[in-house]
Order: sequence, then structure tokens, then C-alpha cells
Amino acid sequence: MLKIPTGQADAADTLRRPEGDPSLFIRPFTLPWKQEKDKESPIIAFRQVTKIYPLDSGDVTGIDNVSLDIFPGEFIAVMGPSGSGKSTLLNLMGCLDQPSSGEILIEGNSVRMMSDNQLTDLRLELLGFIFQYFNLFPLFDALKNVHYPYATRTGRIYDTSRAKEALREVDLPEPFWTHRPGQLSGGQQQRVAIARALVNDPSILLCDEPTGNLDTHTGTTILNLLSDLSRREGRTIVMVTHDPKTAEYADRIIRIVDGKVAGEKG
Amino acid sequence: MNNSRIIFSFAAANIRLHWLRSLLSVLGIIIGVLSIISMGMIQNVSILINIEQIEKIDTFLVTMDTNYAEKKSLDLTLTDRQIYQMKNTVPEAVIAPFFVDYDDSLRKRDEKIFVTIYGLDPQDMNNMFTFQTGGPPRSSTEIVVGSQVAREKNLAIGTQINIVFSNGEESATRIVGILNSKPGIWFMNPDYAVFPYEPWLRDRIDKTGYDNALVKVDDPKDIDGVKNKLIEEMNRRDSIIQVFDQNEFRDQWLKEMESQAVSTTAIAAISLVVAGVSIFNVMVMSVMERCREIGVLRSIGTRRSAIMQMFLIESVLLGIIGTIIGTVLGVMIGYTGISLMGGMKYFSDLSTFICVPYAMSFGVAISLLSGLYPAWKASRLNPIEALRHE
Repeated sequence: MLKIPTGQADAADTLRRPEGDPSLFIRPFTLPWKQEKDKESPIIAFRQVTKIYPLDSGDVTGIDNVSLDIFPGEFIAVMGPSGSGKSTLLNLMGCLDQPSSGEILIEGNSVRMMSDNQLTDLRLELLGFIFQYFNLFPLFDALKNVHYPYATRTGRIYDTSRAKEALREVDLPEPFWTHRPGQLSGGQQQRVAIARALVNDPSILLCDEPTGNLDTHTGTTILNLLSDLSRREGRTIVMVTHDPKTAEYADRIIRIVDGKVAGEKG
Repeated sequence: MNNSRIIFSFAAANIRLHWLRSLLSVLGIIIGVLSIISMGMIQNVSILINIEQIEKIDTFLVTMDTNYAEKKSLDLTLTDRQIYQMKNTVPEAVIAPFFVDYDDSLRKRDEKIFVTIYGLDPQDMNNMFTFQTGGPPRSSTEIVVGSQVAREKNLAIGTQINIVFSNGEESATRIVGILNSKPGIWFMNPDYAVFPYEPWLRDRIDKTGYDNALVKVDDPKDIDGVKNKLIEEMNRRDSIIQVFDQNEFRDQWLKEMESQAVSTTAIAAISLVVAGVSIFNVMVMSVMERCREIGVLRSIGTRRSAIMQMFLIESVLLGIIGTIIGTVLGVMIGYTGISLMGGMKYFSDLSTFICVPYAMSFGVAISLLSGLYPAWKASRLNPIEALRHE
């Protein structure tokens, strides 16, 4: 039976030292999604979700009564013109924002009542973010950039084996691992960003215009990589784009206009 | 989860990246800490040196009780009879009554010399002081000067100086003796005094009685006993005399030193507070500059508490670096100051270093406090807005 989050941080939501491995500190499970995955149930579900931004000049509706289901392993492209609500949708999926009304379920669990720490843990363990401008930490080399979320989750500060594995997975040659983002090309930076998103083995990858800042050739390589991650590894990918050619890589295209789902393809 | 090392590396890397800005904010802490430490050390040693000197004082002062003088409508003058009575009460002590000539001054050729002129019996002068050179005056043309006056005004045995009386008349004298320095007689300061021949001066200014009497004992430890005997005998019927000893001087002096220490420490502390404002400024700028980074950190699963720690560590690191450098420099400056004062025997005294932990804690605490608000602000940033930040 699933444990329903109460919205309050649990008493168990503290550090503990697991028996047998004194070097390892891990956060105990406070979240209910470590259940056996059901391929038939949506991994992300929006139920009449509305997001309103209160502004001085009047309320602005980002998302208006959206309901949709995304299933495990799907590669989804969210398309729409500027200001249509694509990014709002992605932010809500990424638990960076809460809906004004309606309900969002991640792996069947409502995120509405989760505390900030629980939402943060959810992002750490279940979601991977890939941004248009890569958003790597400029002071750290590629390996440390990738290693950070893993070290945050497991406390394994010096064990970079998983980060190396992720960098190999995205085909970034080893000599570049010690380069800082400023010393890497756009494509290489995006590979590092994808590796960072993958390092905690998330079920869902959320990509905001992942090729928007890359040339066509590099963009194609990155899209092939994402497509491969979806097909080969069964990861759910939600990609926001305004480019129809980029959207063609997805299994399903959701078109958003004025905050509403205007149509689906695929 | 134990990612504090990663958080620490974020903070340290940011300090390295903005090293100039960090250095400038650290500079304030350095100055504040080194001021508190060096001033504290020097002040402490100066207190210890002075206390040592005070404890060596073997002389105290007797005056007429002001209340008694007022009640009896007397001027504040001790009579020959009272001096006689005092001498009989404590025969073991030397009692040297004297008067002060406030109206007259001295001149060496065209130069006026501003010193106090005392009337002190030549025999008492021999009992109370020692001579660098020469001896007490034996006639109206002879005069004795204090060591500091002699040094500063370049006076020697045989030098002629004139006593200039208030009516404009002058009397030529010749220096026949220079006293050795005798610190601690705060009520007289013989180092800056001159002593003409007492019977002549008394006649010349028409003085009766004595303003005060010095009482000297063989051992400074006997002061209390002698003092109590005097008070008991002289003030048996009425409170005729007042006694001022080194304890009074020490208390008054310590009080003065304390208020001086408070003001100097306050000045140094203000520089630390200014340094705190500088760190606050640096941290606020850091938060603004790293908005996007904070957004990324939050989006990839960094808790608010970790963001807060990151910024707090950064400001505390600045404080620790500044405090360590400030402490080293402060101790070095303190050492130099103490050696220049000739107080090296007190350098290793524990009390000399009492200011160090205070200054260090204050330095670190100020930087921690300065970082609190920016760190809190950073941790409360909305990740979406932070990610949008250019």
C-alpha cells in the first residue's frame, strides 16, 4: 500500500547510517514511488490542471484546465508558440511549481501535498532536467558537474564511477572529463548536461529546448542520443520544442495553444 | 546524505573565482581582528607594567579633609602641630610636608619653563628622593630640578634659571641637584617639579603651613598599617585628614585604562562591523550573480537547507580566512609593540592573549551574521525565477 505524503517533513526524513557500510550515508525513503512500475499506468498524469500567475496587471493563465497522461517509456514532444504554456507545463511536471488547481500525479502519487523537501527529493531521484543553455556549473569540470547530483543523493563524495559511466553513456571522450564547461563546445556541454540528468538513473527526463542552442548537426546527434535513451533504456522523455523537425523524433507530439492542449499526434 | 563537502567545494570555488572581491571583504575582517588583538595585547601589558610599578610605590599623601576645612572655615593647610602629631604617631615612617607655589613660574634665558614649584624641606628631600647628581639646595640661589625637566630643557648642574614671581620680580637661581626619576607619586610628579630652597620660598611667598604631606615607608606592604594608624590617631575626634595611597591611584588609573580599553576595542569592533557589512554586500552580490546556479541546484534536487549552508559556508570561510590572517598579524604587531614598551616579560602572560579568542570569535560571528540574510534569501529563491535569471 502506498504511503500518502502528508505535506509535512517526516521524522524519518533525516540522515541515517546504514548498517554494513559506514562510509555511506543515504537518505531513507520518504517518498512513495519506489514501487514496482506499472507499464499500464501513466508515469505523469495531469488532472484538470490550471496554473494562474497573479500579476499586478491582472491574472495570467499559464495552463488552463489541462488533463493528460504520459506513460513509461514514451518520448513526448510539447510544441506550441511562444507564451503558449509549454514551459509552465514542463515546470509543473518537474515539480518546480505547484498548480493553482487540479492535480498532478507522478507515478500515481499526488505531488500537491508534498513538502518542499519531498519535492526536492523527487526531483533528485526521479527526474532529470536538460536545459537549452546547458546550465552547467562553470567552476566545476565535466566530471564534477555530472557527479554532483549523485553525490547529493548517495553521499558518495569520492566515488565518481557512476558519473564516469554516465559520461560514457553520452559518448563524451575521457580527455574532456576534466574540462570546465567554458572549455567545451555546445554539443559537448549538452552531453555533460544529459549525463548529469542521467546520473541518478531517473525514470523521467524533462528537456527544455535541448537543441535550441546547438547547430543542426550537433542538435541531431543530441536528439539521436535522447531517442536512444528512450527506446533502449525505456526512459520517459518530455521535450519542449518549437521546432517541428525536432518534434519528429518523439513518439507523441502534444500541441499547446493558449495554455490548453490543442491537439495530439502520434 | 552527507554532501557538505560538495557544498563546501561550491563555496570555496566561488571565493577563488571572485578572489579580488573576496580579498577586499576579508581585508576588513583582518583589520578589525588585528586591531582588537594588537591593541588588547599592548594595553594588557601596559596595565601589567603599571600595576607592577604601582605596587612598588612606598609613599602616600596626606591632606586636610575638605569637609573638615569647610566646617571649620579653614584653608586646606596642615599645621606644624598636625605634622608633629603625625610624626609622633608613625615614627617608623618619613613624613615630608610640602607646599605648592602655583602662582610663580620659571625662565631659562628667554624660554619659559612650565613646571610646578614645590616647597620641600631640604632634609625631607634627601629622605624622599635620590639624586642623579648634586644635592638639596642650601640657599635662596640654589634650586633642584626633576629628571624629566632636566632632560627636556637641557638643564645641568650650574645652569642658571630664574624664578619669575607673579608681581613680575625675578630671582636668579643655579641648579645644584637633579633628582632621580621616581614614578608613581601621582599626586606630586617630582620628575616635572622644581624645588627652590624651602625656607626662602616660604618667606618670599608668605606661606604658612603645608598643603600636603608625603609619607614614605620602608616596605610598600606597610603602607596600609601606617595609613590606618595615622587615620586612627588624627581622626579620633574629627575627620581632620584624608589619605590618598597607591590603591586609590591604581583604582582610578585602572578605571581610566578600562574606559580607554573599551573605547579602543569599540573602535576596532566598529571596523569589524564595517567588515561585516562588506561581507554582507559581497554575499548579496554573490546571490544575485549566482541566481541561475541556485535555480539549477534546486531543479536537480538540492534542498533549501543545502543552498543556505553553501552561502553560510562562503561567508564563514571569508571570516575564518580574515580572522586567521588578522590573528597572526595582530599577534605580530602586539609582539612588536610590547617589545618596544619593554614589557617582554609579560608577553607570555595568559592575560595578554585573552583578547585573541574574543577577537577570533567576534570576527567569525560577524561574518556568520553577515551571511545569514543573503543565505536565507538564496534558499528562498523560486527555482523557476532563478532559472530565468540572466
